[in-house]
Amino acid sequence: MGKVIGIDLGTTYSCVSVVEDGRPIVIPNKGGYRTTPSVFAVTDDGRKLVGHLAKRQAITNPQNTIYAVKRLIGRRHDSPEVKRAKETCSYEIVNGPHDDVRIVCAGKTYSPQELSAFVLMEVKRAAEEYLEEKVSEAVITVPAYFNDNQRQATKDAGKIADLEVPRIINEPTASALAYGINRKKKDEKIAVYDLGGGTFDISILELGAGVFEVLATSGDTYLGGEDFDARIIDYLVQEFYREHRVDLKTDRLALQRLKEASEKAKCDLSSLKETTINLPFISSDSHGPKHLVLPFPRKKLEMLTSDLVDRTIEVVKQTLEECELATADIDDVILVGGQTRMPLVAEAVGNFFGKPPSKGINPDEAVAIGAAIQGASLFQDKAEMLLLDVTPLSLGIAIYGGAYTPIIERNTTIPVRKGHIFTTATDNQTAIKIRVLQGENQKAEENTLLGEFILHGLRKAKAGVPEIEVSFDINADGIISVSAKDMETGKEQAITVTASSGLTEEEIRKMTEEAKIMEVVLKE
Amino acid sequence: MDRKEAILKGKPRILGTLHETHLKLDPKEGFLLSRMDGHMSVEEILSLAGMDREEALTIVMRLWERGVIVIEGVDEESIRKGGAARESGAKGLSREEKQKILAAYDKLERVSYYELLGVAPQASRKEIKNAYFALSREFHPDRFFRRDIGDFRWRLDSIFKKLTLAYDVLSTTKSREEYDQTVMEDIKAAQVRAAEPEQGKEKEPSKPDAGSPPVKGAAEAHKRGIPKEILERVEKAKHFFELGIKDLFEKKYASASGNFKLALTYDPYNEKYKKHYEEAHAVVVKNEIERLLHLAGSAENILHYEEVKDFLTKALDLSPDHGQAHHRMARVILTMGGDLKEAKDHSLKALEASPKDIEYRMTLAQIYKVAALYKNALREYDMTLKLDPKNDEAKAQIKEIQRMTRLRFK
Repeated sequence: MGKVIGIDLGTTYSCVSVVEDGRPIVIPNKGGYRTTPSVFAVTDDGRKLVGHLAKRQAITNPQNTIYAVKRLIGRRHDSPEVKRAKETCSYEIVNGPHDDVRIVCAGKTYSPQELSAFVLMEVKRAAEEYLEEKVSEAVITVPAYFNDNQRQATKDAGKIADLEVPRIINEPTASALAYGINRKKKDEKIAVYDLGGGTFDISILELGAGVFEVLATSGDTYLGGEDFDARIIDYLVQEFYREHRVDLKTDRLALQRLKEASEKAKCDLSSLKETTINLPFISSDSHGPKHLVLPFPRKKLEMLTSDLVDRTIEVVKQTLEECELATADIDDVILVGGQTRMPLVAEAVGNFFGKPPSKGINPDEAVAIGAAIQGASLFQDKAEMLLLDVTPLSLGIAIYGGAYTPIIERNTTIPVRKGHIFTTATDNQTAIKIRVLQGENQKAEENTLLGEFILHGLRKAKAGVPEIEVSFDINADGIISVSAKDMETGKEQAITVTASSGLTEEEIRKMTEEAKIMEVVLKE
Repeated sequence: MDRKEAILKGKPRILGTLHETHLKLDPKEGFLLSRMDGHMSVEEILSLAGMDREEALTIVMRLWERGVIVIEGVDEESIRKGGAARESGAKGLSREEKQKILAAYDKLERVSYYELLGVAPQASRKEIKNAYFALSREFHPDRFFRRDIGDFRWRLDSIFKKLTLAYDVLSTTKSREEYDQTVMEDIKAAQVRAAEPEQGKEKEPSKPDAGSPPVKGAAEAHKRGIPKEILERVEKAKHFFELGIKDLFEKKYASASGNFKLALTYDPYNEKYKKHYEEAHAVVVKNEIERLLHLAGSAENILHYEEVKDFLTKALDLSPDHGQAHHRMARVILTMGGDLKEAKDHSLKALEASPKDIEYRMTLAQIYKVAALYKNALREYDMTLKLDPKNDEAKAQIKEIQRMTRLRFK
């Protein structure tokens, strides 16, 4: 059996790593780069490109260059994030057959899973070339806050890429593994602040005697480097309009250039105090061509984006409160994700925790390294480390009146099994419908539906009399099973949640003759 | 003696619980398992099984090899170390590893969270955490990720989930307090009850004594650690409870009720057992009353009034406020020409249960009429008319009584 590789499938960049002779190394691709852009494109003459080549020709081929697919994978087409993407993306996003999305590229439609698979295949190829052997297994990382659908979709992407994915792990946890694997110190609490291209994650972990325990994990899936870029773009568009009365946002090509320039300026300002944004021939009108040339100091960038940084600190504060920890309890803070290179971010984090963030870890590679470490440890006989991860989102069911009852609270260590007793809402109710939800919103419909099933055959009785035990079971691979058991008759019904986009897996066997509400009420 | 003899003499007991849905058992296995309570030897079970002896023995052996049961007396060590399962599949595990897993699995429902984690009840949070981490390294499913471990995988799963639950409860101040005040107190109380026979009282098993405070001997028993006997009683209780649940599933309410009662006897403070017993018992009573009433009806059809009374009396013994039984009793006494006072008492009780029942009231009225208590009779018929203005029978009866009383006073 071959080696297990670790893949950080990022919104903007991907990275692959493997453990060799007990040490994790990052595998460079053919061009010598240690990261690969998560971009896929089809050129005018029909060539399919992935990675750096695809990214480089993006500006001349905006409609057929697909990027940031991670923002769409596992999401419903009517979710706010997808709607936002439809407005800003240069490529076409359409509705898919399972309430999900499809992307149009050079006349063909692709699912986000497929497009991600292309990127996975690219890094897989690099790994195989380096290792000189076939690779068939990979641990892939996802943002800690990804829900079950998004995780399943990522696994599917792996399948499409002919990779078996024994485990999906959370990005901040992976970073902590990369950080902690060589630490000799016992009993530390660390905070992982992960601000990447598309999402923000904060995780608090406890390390001790080779065990990595996740205490809490939280984040914001709508907040990442791209949002910082968006602020710059808005500013540039505004300035240009002020001078030339032309709205560059309506011009797709101009938008593309603005995006690139913004990203570059942002990166430059991590080391420079000031830069210039220079976009000649960005537009034209009856008077001739128009250029955009603007000095852009770091202070301006900070002004435009400080609220985004503040938002992340708020989430960090809340997360610490949930663990009942103070900033003084945290021994070390590590920064992960390209966006943390921005001085303002590092400063804000340092100020909040009262200590400078740790420097010993590469923010672009840590996640992939951690994934490789976990992969190797799963297959080792006497592995040195053990990861105790948590479920980042609460799991529960919908109850009578449209409310949501969590049965497994978020940040519960997995694997886990928990149950709760429920009862019927109406007299003579002989069936109940169990709707499995994931999320924190008190209203059932605001959470993500993972699956549903019906338990038939309840004895006819007054409302509130029958006892139905609903159990949730999450195994180490994060697979969720839900069962409902009538305590009186012992009748049981169950499903294993394998939804890929909010679809139910099991077919409902038969509907009851009573068309009345089949709902559930808390017993106690 | 050779191994086969030892097995036949040994007493089999189920490892863990019968309700793991992962255990795929066929009905014959299920039946044999239901006979195993740790007291009957294999030989005895085989003779009571009512199935082909060789077949039954093969099944028992198979269950033993799979690690579903342990056979006490076979290997003295095997109970401590977790039973057989030596020949069972799972090539990815060494014999020691299998025994370790089975021993841990066997403990899960039987010991306190403290004992599960291997710490003293006064352990500090840090000690608890370290214990949990150390055990995680041994029992986390990831430890055995790709190894062929067959039936042991779901056991490992259960072990780790229970460990995590124990850790979660004991590492949070609030839940630890709650746990100490409920479950730990229960265990101490159980120790006290078990300690009593040792002090000379020959009661077996000790009667549930609602309200005996866990004071005397508790501290001492606690210092000694939890005696094996306590765990055995708790385990017995659990065993009967499970039998009861199985009975419920097959709608055998009487058997269920019996099993729950036994469970309660071994574990008297268990609210869950109590509740199940009360519910099962209620169903048994209800069914029995229905049967008795039905029999009373049949007896009435053939005019065997004494028998009717017998059945109704039994029904009333079970449910002293049963309106319908009282009413029928009143009616049969009337019909038999028996003691009117008795009939009246029953009739009144029936009305107590259902004050608005026309039929019951009419019967009472009739009893008064027959007893020549005309004022009372009129009053009841009037009441009937109030409830049911169109009642012709009541009207007719009133007229008749008025006629009769007029004649009398003439």
